[in-house]
Amino acid sequence: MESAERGQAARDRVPRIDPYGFERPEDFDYAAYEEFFSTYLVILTRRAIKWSKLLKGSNSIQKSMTVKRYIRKGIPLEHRARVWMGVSGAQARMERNPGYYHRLLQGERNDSLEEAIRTDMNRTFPDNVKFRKSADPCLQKTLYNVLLAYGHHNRGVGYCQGMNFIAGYLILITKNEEESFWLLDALVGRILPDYYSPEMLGLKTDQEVLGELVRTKLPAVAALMDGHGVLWTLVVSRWFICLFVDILPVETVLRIWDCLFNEGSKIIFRVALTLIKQHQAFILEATSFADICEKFKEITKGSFVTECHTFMQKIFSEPGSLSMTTIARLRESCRAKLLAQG
Amino acid sequence: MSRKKTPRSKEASTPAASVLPAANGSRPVRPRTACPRSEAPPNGPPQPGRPSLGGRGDFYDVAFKVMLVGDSGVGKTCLLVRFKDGAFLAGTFISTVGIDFRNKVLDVDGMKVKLQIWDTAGQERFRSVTHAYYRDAHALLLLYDVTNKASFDNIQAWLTEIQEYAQHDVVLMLLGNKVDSAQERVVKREDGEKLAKEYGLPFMETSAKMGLNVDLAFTAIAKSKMEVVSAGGKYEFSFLCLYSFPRLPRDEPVPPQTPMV
Repeated sequence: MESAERGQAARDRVPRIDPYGFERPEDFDYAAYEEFFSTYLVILTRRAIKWSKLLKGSNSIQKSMTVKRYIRKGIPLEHRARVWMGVSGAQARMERNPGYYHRLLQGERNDSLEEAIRTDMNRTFPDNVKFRKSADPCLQKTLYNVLLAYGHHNRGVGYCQGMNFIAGYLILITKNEEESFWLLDALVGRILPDYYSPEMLGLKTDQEVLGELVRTKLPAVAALMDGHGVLWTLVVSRWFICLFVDILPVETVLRIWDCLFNEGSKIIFRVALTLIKQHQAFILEATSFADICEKFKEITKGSFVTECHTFMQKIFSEPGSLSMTTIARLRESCRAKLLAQG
Repeated sequence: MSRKKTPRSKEASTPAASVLPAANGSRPVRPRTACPRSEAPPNGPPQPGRPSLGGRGDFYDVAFKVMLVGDSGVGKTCLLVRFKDGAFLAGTFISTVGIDFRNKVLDVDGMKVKLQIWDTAGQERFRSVTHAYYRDAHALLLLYDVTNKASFDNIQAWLTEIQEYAQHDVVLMLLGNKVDSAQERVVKREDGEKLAKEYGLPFMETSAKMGLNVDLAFTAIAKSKMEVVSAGGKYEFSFLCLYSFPRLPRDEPVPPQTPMV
């Protein structure tokens, strides 16, 4: 069959809207996706059977080596919310604090918080049919509530742009407002170090930490960045703030988050380093500041990131060893440097 | 699964296949001397470029960095996309997180002027991330939303921020956006004019939705940053700041514009 015909045939078979409600973009490669998905479906089926056995007869999920191995291979969608809730500690907090979420929603009003959240309502996933104003039920109200509750819960953070995308994904997966709130609390409050507070010191620190890791592991890329005066914040701030939402394909982001909830924030460095290492030769072709920026956008597209199962295997092999001790040490030194700079 | 938010520029629409580098290095690396720098050096004047030999359509004579600033939701990204692609992102755009830029080459009095336009997140906490870029900007477009009083009231705070971090000779222009929403307007045109006058800024009302004054605003800042002297086929550049950095209002009287005779 001609490739155009094959593309059309795939287009007829693959739904225009993905399982999460996102419309596929106009330039979506249906044929390539179908080919990938036919292989991935076999993996998904095998994992679903394994997970069903693992979870059989137990209501709660405890962290263990087996669970870690299973999670790295992907949590089936039907168990994802439950496993995220379990391994992140969100379930335990929710159970210890009955009614807390609803009390937050009825708390004292905060006009500037409400306004900041409202400004982003129509700007969160306009390409997702479930977030459209015309949708029934419309997830905008759910999103608003989760963000408002979080702003009341964590006054030091309030609302930071980027949290809208994260909460949006949590809502799509859990289909539950209160669980989304507790998962957001797990991420923003415990898993990620201070990314969203007004000073964004944790974010700035981690961008520098990535820079240091690149300097050690991929010195040619670090030299290129230095040579053209490209600050890491310019090319990776969205990776950190949005946790790859709207940067990598949905399925890939969810697979990353599976590990993020279980293993913590160092997963973000693994993903970033893998993207950079895989495309090192391509990045090194850049001859200008603008070129470098463009290349960092390009490396988040294409089959390498769409093929999420292989991608997730690579994040644990490509960057090499990455101990929490190393990360902690780098965080400390980068943070000190930033504070000294004022 | 990969999703597209905005009409992609021609430059960015590299096919996915080309993401993977060719083993033999099929992308020729042109010597730096034959290729215009894509940006002016930090803190330096805009760079006269040399005609590019093809490349990705980035043929230009001179390049400027322009930055879009203003509160969250005033329409910075929409203004940029309207200017860049001639389209309005009705309900298809997402909040800008962090900082990003796009290029557009303009024809100004027969010169190819490349504008590297930086789009920034408007939320206050992102300023600590974005103000590092102020110092490299040749021009700033400061936006408020005519349907949002708070965004207008915050202009003074933005000016303070700009004064602290931008170059002293940066070209600055104040824009009141969303004038198509006549029903919801809360900031009168005169209010914008008055504020602009107070700070000695050029001012325009714009509509990214209708395309009103959008090209004009970008062209105006390009022109005001560039005075072209064509002599013997050779271009020379000087930098005429039509509007110098705004001074905060002072108590003492402003000296007359023309000397007394």
